[in-house]
Amino acid sequence: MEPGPADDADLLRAHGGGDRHAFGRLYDRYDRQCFQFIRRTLGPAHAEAAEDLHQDTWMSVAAHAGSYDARKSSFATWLFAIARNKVWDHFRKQKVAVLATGEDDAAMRVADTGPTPIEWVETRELALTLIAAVEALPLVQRETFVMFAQGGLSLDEIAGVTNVGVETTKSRLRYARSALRRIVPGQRSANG
Amino acid sequence: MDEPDTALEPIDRAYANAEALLADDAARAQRRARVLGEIARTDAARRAGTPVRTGRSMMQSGGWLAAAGVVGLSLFVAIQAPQRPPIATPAARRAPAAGALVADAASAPTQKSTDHPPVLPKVATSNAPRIAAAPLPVVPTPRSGAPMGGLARGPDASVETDKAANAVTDARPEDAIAAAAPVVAPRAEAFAASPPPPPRSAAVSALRAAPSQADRLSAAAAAGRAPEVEDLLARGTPVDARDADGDTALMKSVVAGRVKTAALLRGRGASLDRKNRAGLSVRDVAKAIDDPDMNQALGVKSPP
Repeated sequence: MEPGPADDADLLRAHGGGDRHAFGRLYDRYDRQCFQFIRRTLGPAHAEAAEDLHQDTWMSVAAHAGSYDARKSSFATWLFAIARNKVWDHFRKQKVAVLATGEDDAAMRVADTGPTPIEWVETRELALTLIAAVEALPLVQRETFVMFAQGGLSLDEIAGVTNVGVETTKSRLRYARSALRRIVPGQRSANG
Repeated sequence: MDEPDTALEPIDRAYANAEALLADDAARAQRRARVLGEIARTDAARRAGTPVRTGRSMMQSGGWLAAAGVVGLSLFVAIQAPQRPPIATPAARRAPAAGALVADAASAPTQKSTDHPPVLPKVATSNAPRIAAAPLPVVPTPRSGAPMGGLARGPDASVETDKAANAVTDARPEDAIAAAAPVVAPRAEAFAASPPPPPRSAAVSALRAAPSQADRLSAAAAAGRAPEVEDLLARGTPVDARDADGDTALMKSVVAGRVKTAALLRGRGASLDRKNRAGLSVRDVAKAIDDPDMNQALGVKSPP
């Protein structure tokens, strides 16, 4: 469904005001990115929870639409923050210890001069390989990368969602990219 | 120096492209119907002042399991161990999380101050349990045909398993419920009129009757399996039979966005006004969802 010109915040307000179509339009704008973010952040070991967490996320959006303040953040930022909370809550409930490794320090030292990877994934096999590589990233890098590459959030917005500084966000993204470049086949072909 | 970080790089586009390549539109549509239907249902319940009970809490947080567990245990006690004293069902440990949405409020984002994700231990212990709860009794997991679109999956579901949600399965959990359902009076009477078979097999046969068909009808309606719906109706399943969740097949088809199946059920006289446990009728849910196609199928007017 093609989103209309209405602003996200307007749609959320309209939903609060009883507009029965507004929420569906808002959902259609972000559901794909939201689900993929949840799914990738959960990783393969917790994939079965993705549907539930996705639904929980949107239920929370609907239930707390009145608390959204467009002056503080974009709707996407708010949505991803909710989704992230759901995922982390899930991990906490499952007593999954998420390693916050020292990758940030290492990331600052990663030279971002790797070969240009393939840009167009043509085969399902390659797509699966790349997705698996993303899911193998450390959690904080993975969520940062997915929010940036797929969710369309800016570094500032991701920093806000993940409650870290922009520099840390930047280093996480850089490290994630570097790791993916090493894994994705075909990257060498770009440089011969 | 920082500029490259702010723009999409080839690896970013490759990832986005991979996601697009693996996208499952059918699963996405099903997910949309379920999520928006649940939100509409919740909104309608709020407006009606009835307690909110989410589809997830009904299906995946234990309602279905609790029901199956209770009737299963009842059957076991009745058939296998008549002398045993009653025991508590372990299914109570997975009692429905009614008010899950209320619980959401506690973790609802407030755009900064209280929106921080939980701080998790920085050091993972190798022997840390990944699942807190103790192992539960083995109960069939709802699959594609499950009411309200239960999508519980196996642990090996990996990159793209959404299609599994659409798969029609042969061995369905409703069968397990049916096999363990309480005695239904009309069926028992029917058996009473026939030559007396061994008591146990008669009881078991009776237990396989009506509840199974109601659940099957709902499951088929939720999954949009119109031929199966027609077959079940032809075999005498009441069109307004309530499933284990207390919903009718029409309710399930509306929530799942199954327009054709809803039209079929309406054509067979399914009620718009029969209410479920939450006090909601099909008319209430349809009004909240307000899908023009669905409204037309149901024969109700779209709200202005």
